[in-house]
Amino acid sequence: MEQETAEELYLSFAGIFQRPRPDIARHLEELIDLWAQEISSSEKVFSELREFCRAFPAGEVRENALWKEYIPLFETGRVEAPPYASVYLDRDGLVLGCEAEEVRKFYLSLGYGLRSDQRELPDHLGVELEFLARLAGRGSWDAVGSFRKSHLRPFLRAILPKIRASERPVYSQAAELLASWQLGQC
Amino acid sequence: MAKHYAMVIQLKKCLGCQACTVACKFENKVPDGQYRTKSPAIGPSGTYPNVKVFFEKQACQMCQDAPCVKVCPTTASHYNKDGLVLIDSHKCVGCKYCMTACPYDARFINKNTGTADKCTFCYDTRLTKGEKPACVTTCVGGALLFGDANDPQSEVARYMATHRTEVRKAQFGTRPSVHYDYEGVK
Amino acid sequence: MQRRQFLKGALYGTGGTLVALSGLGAATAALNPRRAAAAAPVSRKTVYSSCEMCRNQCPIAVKVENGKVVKIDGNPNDSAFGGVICARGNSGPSLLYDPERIKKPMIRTGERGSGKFKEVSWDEAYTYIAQKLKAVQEQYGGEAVAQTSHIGPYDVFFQTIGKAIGSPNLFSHEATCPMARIIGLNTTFGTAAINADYANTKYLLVVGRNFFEGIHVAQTRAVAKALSQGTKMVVLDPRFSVLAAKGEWLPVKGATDLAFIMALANVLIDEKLYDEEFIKQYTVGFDKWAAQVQDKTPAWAAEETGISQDTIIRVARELAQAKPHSLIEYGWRTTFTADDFQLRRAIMIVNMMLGNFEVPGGYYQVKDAGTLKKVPAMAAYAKKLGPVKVPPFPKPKKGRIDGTGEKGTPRQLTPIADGAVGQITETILTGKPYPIKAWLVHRFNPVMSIGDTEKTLAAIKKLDLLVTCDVYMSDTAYNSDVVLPECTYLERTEQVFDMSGLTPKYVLRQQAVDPVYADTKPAWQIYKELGEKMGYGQYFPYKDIDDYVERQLAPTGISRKVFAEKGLWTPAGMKPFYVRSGDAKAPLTLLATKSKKIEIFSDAVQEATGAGVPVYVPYPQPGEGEFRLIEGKVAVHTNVGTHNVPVLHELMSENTLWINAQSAAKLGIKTGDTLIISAGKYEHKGTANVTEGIRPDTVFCYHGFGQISPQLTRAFGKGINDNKLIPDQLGSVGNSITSMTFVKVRKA
Ligand code: SF4
Ligand code: SF4
Ligand code: SF4
Ligand code: SF4
Repeated sequence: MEQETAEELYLSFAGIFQRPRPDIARHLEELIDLWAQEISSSEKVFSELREFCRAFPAGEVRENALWKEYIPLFETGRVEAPPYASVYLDRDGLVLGCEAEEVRKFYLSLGYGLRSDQRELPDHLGVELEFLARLAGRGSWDAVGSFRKSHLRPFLRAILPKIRASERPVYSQAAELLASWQLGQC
Repeated sequence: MAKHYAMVIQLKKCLGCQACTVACKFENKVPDGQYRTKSPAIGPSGTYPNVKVFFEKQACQMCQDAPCVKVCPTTASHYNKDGLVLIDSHKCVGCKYCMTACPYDARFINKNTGTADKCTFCYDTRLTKGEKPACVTTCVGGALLFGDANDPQSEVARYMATHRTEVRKAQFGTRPSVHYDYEGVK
Repeated sequence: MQRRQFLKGALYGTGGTLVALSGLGAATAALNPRRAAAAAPVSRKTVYSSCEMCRNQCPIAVKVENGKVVKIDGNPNDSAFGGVICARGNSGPSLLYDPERIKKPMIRTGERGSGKFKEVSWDEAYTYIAQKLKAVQEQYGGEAVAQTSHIGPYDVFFQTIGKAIGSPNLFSHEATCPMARIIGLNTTFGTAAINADYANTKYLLVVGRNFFEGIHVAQTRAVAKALSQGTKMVVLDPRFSVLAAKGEWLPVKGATDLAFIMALANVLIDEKLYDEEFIKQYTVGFDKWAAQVQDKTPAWAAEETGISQDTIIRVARELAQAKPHSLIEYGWRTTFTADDFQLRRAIMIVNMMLGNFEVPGGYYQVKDAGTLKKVPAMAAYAKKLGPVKVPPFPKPKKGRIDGTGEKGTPRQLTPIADGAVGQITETILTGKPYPIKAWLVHRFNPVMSIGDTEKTLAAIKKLDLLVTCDVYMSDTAYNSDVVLPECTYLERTEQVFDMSGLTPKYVLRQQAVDPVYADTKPAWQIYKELGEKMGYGQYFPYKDIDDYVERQLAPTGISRKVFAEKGLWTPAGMKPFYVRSGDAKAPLTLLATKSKKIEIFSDAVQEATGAGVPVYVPYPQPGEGEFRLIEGKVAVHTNVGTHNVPVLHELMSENTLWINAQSAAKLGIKTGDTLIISAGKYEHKGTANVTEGIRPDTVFCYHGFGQISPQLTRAFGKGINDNKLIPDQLGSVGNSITSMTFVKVRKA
């Protein structure tokens, strides 16, 4: 896969798994096109995604529809799938565990830090994906490989089944696609 | 003279408030759902309105003749230089022999480390720094005494010299270092 | 292939979460990150602060490693606490790092109560609230805005909003908890700042309080200390509490405690065992009280209370024998009956008959700076905190909805700072005396705390605006229009607060770590920013909380450094000060009543209720097949605030219904059976706990369980929500009534 495509894929998932935002919501159709081109998955996944876009046209309607799913899935709702790696990998189920610290140091070692104005926890799924996009964008494939192996994939193996099981539109399909791409099967 | 750390539990003063339980969890990073110590209610017994209940703090009894050490095939369970029964988690293979051997149900396999775990009298984190164990420090009822039983001036030695204390399940001949004063509750 | 430039635009600009640190990348890229992590030095510090797992604010020492709270201990510098904190205090990190905390401001997008929200920026949230409040204010007047909080340091900031709007309707939660005691003390001593010296008492009679499960570390320890020194303790409680287990349990019939207390007075007078000198020198109205208790004989009280005549006489004699170092505890949650405050007054009157005021082992007036200033010999220890001056607020155009302060009615006694919080839902539903249309709630959960959960939910539906600020998606937050995420106590500094007792004491809550979730904020900042958005900036004249603290400390000469180094301040060299310990006849110049005497007969109470000394009123008792439902606290939870905290939830996730073994046998109920508890209007399921430790006519459950917000995933729906069964009933002075609910119980 070429460098720029990998970068875009990481970015597309980062965009989806960070908090809902107008720009990403507006371009959802394009993301679906990108995934359809690059990731092989069942037709059902794509048709469900496109159905969502039809049901919720771009704009505030779509944003609110995404919030409706995002909050209980990741944020304060039943928190069906807390988006922080520490919650899964540190076993005590709390945020800011060792995993968060290791990930932060990994970022630091490659010259990245967390924005002070947007301060998100380092091991948020969206942040890890954004980090990989940056590495892919500059062609640091060794770092991509080692980050995936020691951090992203263990995290994905724990969280993606939960997101898929939630059957929440967009997120469960995105999780399925991310699983096919990153974990090699669906 | 060598040290002999000992704990005295005055049952009449224990409120069953579980401050010790929680303090121990954070002091020793005990995983969720697992405990090195707990103070369950014994009772209530009797008939209305003549009822009794008391609380009995339970944890490793720091046996001086410890069955867990005897059965350990890798010497992971051992007596340290101060005579405390500790577990070297690098040597522990998780065979659970010790769990079966312990008459006090004091051990468990730590979910995070996969090795045997139990009360250490907070040896590494506090004793070696001259502090008392976390449970003793936070005890709301003031039920816990701790110190060197070989030092006649210590609180525990003076207490044991003037009060009748017992060890649990004396018939096993384990010679515990945790002593219970049942005065006022039985 | 077509490139999607918007992605980079969206995530690499200011919208992203990461930033490239110039220069660093090249230098450290070669480092193995794992080894780098291992090699990095551990930074450790201890931050002295104050706990907020309940409202007692115990001094704590927070151990921070690499910016993470790893352990919380009690602050060893405070001798009243001796480095001790309770289970809840120990569990602080579990709340701090809980992924289920609320993280951003939210505005409702679905129906009220549907749980559908979107996240917004703080500015959007403020704008939304400000607009809605303005609309309510224009249409209905400022008085249509009600505010409630639990009670705490945030009130100064929170209530400024309501005061600036011109609303008189500011409420604390006190009416659901200690308010009857506060009124009992106010009307007897002219102040509620009266504490008990438990540690030095020789005989302790406790009326329905439970020091060993409703934990207040300093007081719990003091009682435990007294017991270990041989103090005798007698516990009046329909249920066999942990406290009762440590003393002599008298299973009193519910709502009859006043009969017991009056009979004690009767015996003390009859046998001339009371402290006549004390009564003569320091009190007024004793003769009226004596007349009132003249026929309240032990035989009569035995009928009322179910406690034998001999026991009552014995307790009275024992109290007298140990006087003045004996005391009758004045109660914590004082919501038993409609006239609970008269019980509290009666308790204090009998205490005064024991002469146990301002002596070791008795009651004493809190020696804060303001009080000490009145004692010349002690004035040097009084360092009064500076006022933080704000311009005068507009005068509310209407009186309060609950009649607080109305002369000639019992509500004239209700503290204006507290009010009758249970009135709010009634007013919202009926529009009487005038409509309430907006409700601001801070760290309080009326859905689970004001009696009748369903009524509160119905009331909420009629509002134009409900705003809740909390750390979790509480039951009330879940039903709100706007939810504001406060950061936890470990992530904020607050103003200096006064914890004086026998000496003055100041404690400071100090931020231990950065907010875990960057968009959570401390109360002072939230309400200052909201106030500024609403054009009320002049009422928040300080820059930030540090500026506020500085203004408080300026006139005292106490340095902020003291708090950084020790976490608290007490005057060096001052010994615990009891006015009468050396001289039993020392004048009580500190007394804050108009008469300068302890008012056994109170003119104010006479004017308000016609009963200037407490009068016995018999309350209904459960009929055949009925039980009195009572509720209480457990050591590992606080009210309805901690049931979702992971570690505490793990320790106790559910409550059960305690039912007496004989009563249960009659109904064929066994421990573990699922029951239907019926209070007439509402029913609730619960699990039976058949026990010998409760009266046969009473059932009990721990409070705060059965939460109804599905977003409290752990606590949701587990156990009995007693609040659903207890009606929203108000007593004479506006206290909620929580011990007068009768239920029937059957197997499900
Ligand atoms: S109590 Fe059990 S674990 Fe502890 S020393 Fe004795 S045998 Fe070993
Ligand atoms: S001594 Fe330490 S390890 Fe043992 S129970 Fe107490 S706190 Fe836990
Ligand atoms: S902290 Fe003390 S009083 Fe509380 S349960 Fe533990 S041993 Fe008992
Ligand atoms: S009593 Fe416990 S929860 Fe309350 S402030 Fe003190 S330590 Fe914290």
